[in-house]
Amino acid sequence: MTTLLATLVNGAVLGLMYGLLAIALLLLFQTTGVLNFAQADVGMFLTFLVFGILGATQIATGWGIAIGVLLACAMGLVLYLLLVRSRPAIALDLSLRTLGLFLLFAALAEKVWGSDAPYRFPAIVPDRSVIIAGYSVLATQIVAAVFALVVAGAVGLLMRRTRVGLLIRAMRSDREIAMDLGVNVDAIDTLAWIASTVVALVVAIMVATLTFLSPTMMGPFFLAAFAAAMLGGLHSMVGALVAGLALGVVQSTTAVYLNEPSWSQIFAFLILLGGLIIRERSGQSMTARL
Amino acid sequence: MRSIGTRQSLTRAVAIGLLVLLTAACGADSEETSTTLSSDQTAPGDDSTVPDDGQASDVPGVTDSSIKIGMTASITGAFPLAGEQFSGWYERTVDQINAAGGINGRTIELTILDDGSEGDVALSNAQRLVRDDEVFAMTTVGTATTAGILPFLESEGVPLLFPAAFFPELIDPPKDNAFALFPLYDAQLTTVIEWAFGEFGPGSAVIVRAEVPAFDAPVTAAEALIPELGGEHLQTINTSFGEADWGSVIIRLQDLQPDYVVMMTSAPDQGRLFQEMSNQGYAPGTAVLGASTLVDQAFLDAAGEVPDGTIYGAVAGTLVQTAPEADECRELWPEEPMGPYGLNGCASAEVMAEALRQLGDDVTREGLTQLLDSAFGPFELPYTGVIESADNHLLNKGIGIATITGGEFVAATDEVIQSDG
Repeated sequence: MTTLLATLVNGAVLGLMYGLLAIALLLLFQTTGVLNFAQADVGMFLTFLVFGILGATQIATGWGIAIGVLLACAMGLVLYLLLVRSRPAIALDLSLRTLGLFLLFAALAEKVWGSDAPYRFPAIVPDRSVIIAGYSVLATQIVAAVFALVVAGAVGLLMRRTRVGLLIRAMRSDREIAMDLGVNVDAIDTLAWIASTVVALVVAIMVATLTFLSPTMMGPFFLAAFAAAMLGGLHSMVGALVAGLALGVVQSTTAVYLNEPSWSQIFAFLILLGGLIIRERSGQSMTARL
Repeated sequence: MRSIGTRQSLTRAVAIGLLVLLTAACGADSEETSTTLSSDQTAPGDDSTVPDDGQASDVPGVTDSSIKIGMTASITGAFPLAGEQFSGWYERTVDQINAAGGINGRTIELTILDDGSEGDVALSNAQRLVRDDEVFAMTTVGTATTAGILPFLESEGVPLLFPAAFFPELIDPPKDNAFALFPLYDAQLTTVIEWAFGEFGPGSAVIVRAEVPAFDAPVTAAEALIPELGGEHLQTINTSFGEADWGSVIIRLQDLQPDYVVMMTSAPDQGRLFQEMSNQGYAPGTAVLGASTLVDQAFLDAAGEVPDGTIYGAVAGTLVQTAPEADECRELWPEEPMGPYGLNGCASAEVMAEALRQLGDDVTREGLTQLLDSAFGPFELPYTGVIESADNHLLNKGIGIATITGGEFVAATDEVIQSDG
């Protein structure tokens, strides 16, 4: 029983990381309709920059991360200007552009930092842990979980209770009509690119702290986060978080009880494919009803 | 209609995206290396080349004044440390030999090419070294890359001398042209288990391995040996390279409560596992055991603080790199902290030079392979076991045992243990 509870706790902690990254994806998608395939690797790249700054200046980790957040804001803005504003296109084309960006950041990080990877990223919170159901949850994991819940809640509130949220929902419903009604879509798009890049940086720093800093560190996390976002319906932060939790628990349970690591990934993709098929069918039937 | 169109577009985007991501994930290694590597990129070894103004002979790569040796090494890419260290110390050992007058009046002309752990680059490097540069013999760093170029070298009849590569097919069955100096993972793992059971007593053991073919033979050998020595093999836990979820492994270890945890995966992954063990307050009853990947600085860098006497790893072919007997090698590159692959580089170059010395003036590929096949040694370096010709072409069956004391690797045994090879 202890093993099962510990497995569930471990899976939940892992799943919250997936959920957090899924939230970063949805922040952009809900606002602009762009699925940013480079989201995780942008975070990875920025984390390397923070790591470089920490190494070069010997400043406290917190200050390094604060500089990283500023860099993430700048990066989000630059990506928006280069990818979107330089040559506007429909969301599908913009999503495809991010695939190129993903390959670029992966190759660049490998070129610059790959030869000495992996690296240990300095701890961001004191090296303490809490025992839950026989499993020791690290302070970093708790911070990640709280951050995920806070971001999900904050974005939920923003979307439902504020004027900005109303404008975003209006844009999501019909971008052209929103523009005609005077909504400053460019400003909201810019904000979305910046916010999602900052969240991606935070997730990447947490992953680097919990595992290693390396050009390939976000691979397994991004695929699971992508699955979580899809399963969550692409329009629900809470749905993505719950889906991430479910994926984490499934993977952890598979690893503990089946002893086949390859099956963890296979299960994740089966769940993703199943979710996509179900969503497609339900979407079509809903449209037919309408 | 608009809704369906949007959904279909989105579905297409998702499908294309997943395809690209999957392709990138599956080919992560090759992509990593292809961006950073070129077969023209050379390691510092290129600086050691000596102008060849001697009289050419019929033997490729041999003149009256020089002998050409080529190396393809994983200096960048997935496992850069091994290539950097092996090639770096190999080159400096060759420099030292040349500075002392070379071998029977000939200097060694060394060309090192970087393959970045990339199979196709390694093969193209080997083809360039053999066909364009006409090297006399080759050595390599990298298990997968060496396995890939071995058939080519065999077909060309080029001697492959003492590579830093650990795969059974290198010596099983023995190849006419290939000679190994470093015992493979199965010998390493069984030797460290046998040593630990003798030192601390037999006990229950769980093996934590990466699910890759290269580790099948050592894991199978360890699973068979543990009960033979009076221990109990509780389970083998499968993991991936770059495992993201070490928590699940710890949960199972806590459940199984073994006396020994035997690790067989990459050095950084073993470090992460050890770090997670520390995070979870878990330690096996007696010790953590492993092959040469456990005695690697990359393990120590990843593991953080390792209490004294908790881990014991096998060192392939030599004593641990920090042993006083290895000073002579370490001092060749004082500014660089030497790992096991650095010492391997020294040993490989020294034994290559000794074999050429024993050939005398008549340096031919046939002469070299005949010598190494049946008439070489016994020969010993201060930090190796006995090196001599063997039926399976593994010339050195020695294995050192290392542990960590005060955050540094130290020898757990005074002498190199002779394994079954």
